[in-house]
Amino acid sequence: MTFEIYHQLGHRDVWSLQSIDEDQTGDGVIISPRSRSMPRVEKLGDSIKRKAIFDPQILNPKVVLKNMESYDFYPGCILPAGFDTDEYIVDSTLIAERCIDFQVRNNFRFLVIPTRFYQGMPPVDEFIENQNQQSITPFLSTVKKLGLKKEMILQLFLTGHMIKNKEYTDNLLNWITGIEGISGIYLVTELHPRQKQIRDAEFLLSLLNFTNSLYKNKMKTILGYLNSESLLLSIANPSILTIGSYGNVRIFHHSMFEISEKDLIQIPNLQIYVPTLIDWLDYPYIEIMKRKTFKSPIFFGDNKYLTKMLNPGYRGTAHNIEPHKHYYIEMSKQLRQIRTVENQNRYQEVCKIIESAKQGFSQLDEAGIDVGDKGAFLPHWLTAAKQFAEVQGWGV
Amino acid sequence: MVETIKTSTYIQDLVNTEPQLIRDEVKGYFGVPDLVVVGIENGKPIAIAFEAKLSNWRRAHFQAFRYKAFVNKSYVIMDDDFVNPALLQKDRFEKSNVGLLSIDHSGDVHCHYDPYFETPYSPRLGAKFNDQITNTI
Repeated sequence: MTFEIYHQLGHRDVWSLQSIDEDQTGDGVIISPRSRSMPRVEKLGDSIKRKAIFDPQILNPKVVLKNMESYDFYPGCILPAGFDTDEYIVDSTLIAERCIDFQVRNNFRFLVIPTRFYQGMPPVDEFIENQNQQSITPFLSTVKKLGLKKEMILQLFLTGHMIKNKEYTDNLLNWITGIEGISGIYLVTELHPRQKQIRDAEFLLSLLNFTNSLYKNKMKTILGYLNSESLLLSIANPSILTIGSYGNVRIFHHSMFEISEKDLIQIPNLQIYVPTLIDWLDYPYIEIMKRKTFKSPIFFGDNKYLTKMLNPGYRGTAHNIEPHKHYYIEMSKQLRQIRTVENQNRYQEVCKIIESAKQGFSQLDEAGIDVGDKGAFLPHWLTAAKQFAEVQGWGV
Repeated sequence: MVETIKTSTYIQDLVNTEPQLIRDEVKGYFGVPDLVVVGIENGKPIAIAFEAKLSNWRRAHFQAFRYKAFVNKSYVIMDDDFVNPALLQKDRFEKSNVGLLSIDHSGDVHCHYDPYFETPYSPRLGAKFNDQITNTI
């Protein structure tokens, strides 16, 4: 099955919209109220909204962040006395009505039913009951009452603990496939602790299995907040894979939806995505690679933003447009390449990409360029891919 | 360890010029060297960075390699009692042109690999470092 490429919008989401329009790096966007106020979402063109997925981001009902205050459906806006579970259940129908009204009025691609984020691994019955009571039942009742025919997607936030527990995910699958009217899942996972690239083969394999089970149950699967592991996850037949610019749209962490007492703004280093390595490297490494044996532009990619960044006079920072637009182009190129093939062929293509990244890191090592343990994620990816392929009978 | 290195005549002799500037914990470039020694030779600034680690040569090598983005030479300096694992991987130091020193209990410095002079591999950071640090000499 082929898949679509969506941009997970966040800070400076205009860059994504431009990139899709100018460089054809995606098929649509996932809109984030955390980063875009309601009037600014409403102002988006119909052609964008028609293909867009609106992420209601009601994962933490206790908090309404700045841009989110402009929407009228957040529990924190509706419950002025502060969050209280009993009150939340009482007002959940009002929350559902307003959230659905907004989504329908803007004619987004799907109607997304939001659910809450739970840390760790609460008992699965409790997890399901809470989600049903606080979100799914009020949303489905409202949809029924209004007689809406829009395709519905259920959002799910799952932690690493949940994903890795087969019994837990089996229960979730039973529950999901039993919800009437749901045609897919918008899945967001949080692995904690984690490095920028996932170094946990068990987690990756479990996520591949879960995604593939959804596919086998004829459910659409949208995998949100992905880093370059999207390449690996493509072998599990997801419907939509995401790409994003800054780290917080490529790696989900629930703390993004909490109000922090200290506004610690970390200025990220300028990094460039290196498609051969399927990872980002600090810019000074790119400078020495250029000086040494890595003359081939294909190693870094091939686009006008890269040309600008490789110019010796380039003085950009992580907040410049070039590293992000370069990433969109190169990542989407890799994803488009693998979506032309399916199943075993896609698996083989993905393995080739991972093996080639391993060789790339070895080349760096041979050239005396010490990037630390940067490539350490690759064996985990390969292990997960091979174990998944074995179960599929693809031969490894 | 850093204080011992600072007073070592061996380290000072590596940049055998006057005036000379010794700075520790230099931030804002590519990693934070424990020590940087800067001097002027033939009108041109020469900068040497040091990463001091009791053990864990691998981590130290990674850090020291980063400093080469903005200095001319970079050394790992270890406790002489713990330098053997690094010596077994001396070829890595040679390949990366990162220096390896060790310091013993009496404060004597032993050189295991002396790197050759290179221009900083990041012209951008090298220029920034020269502007900001060498102007203070």
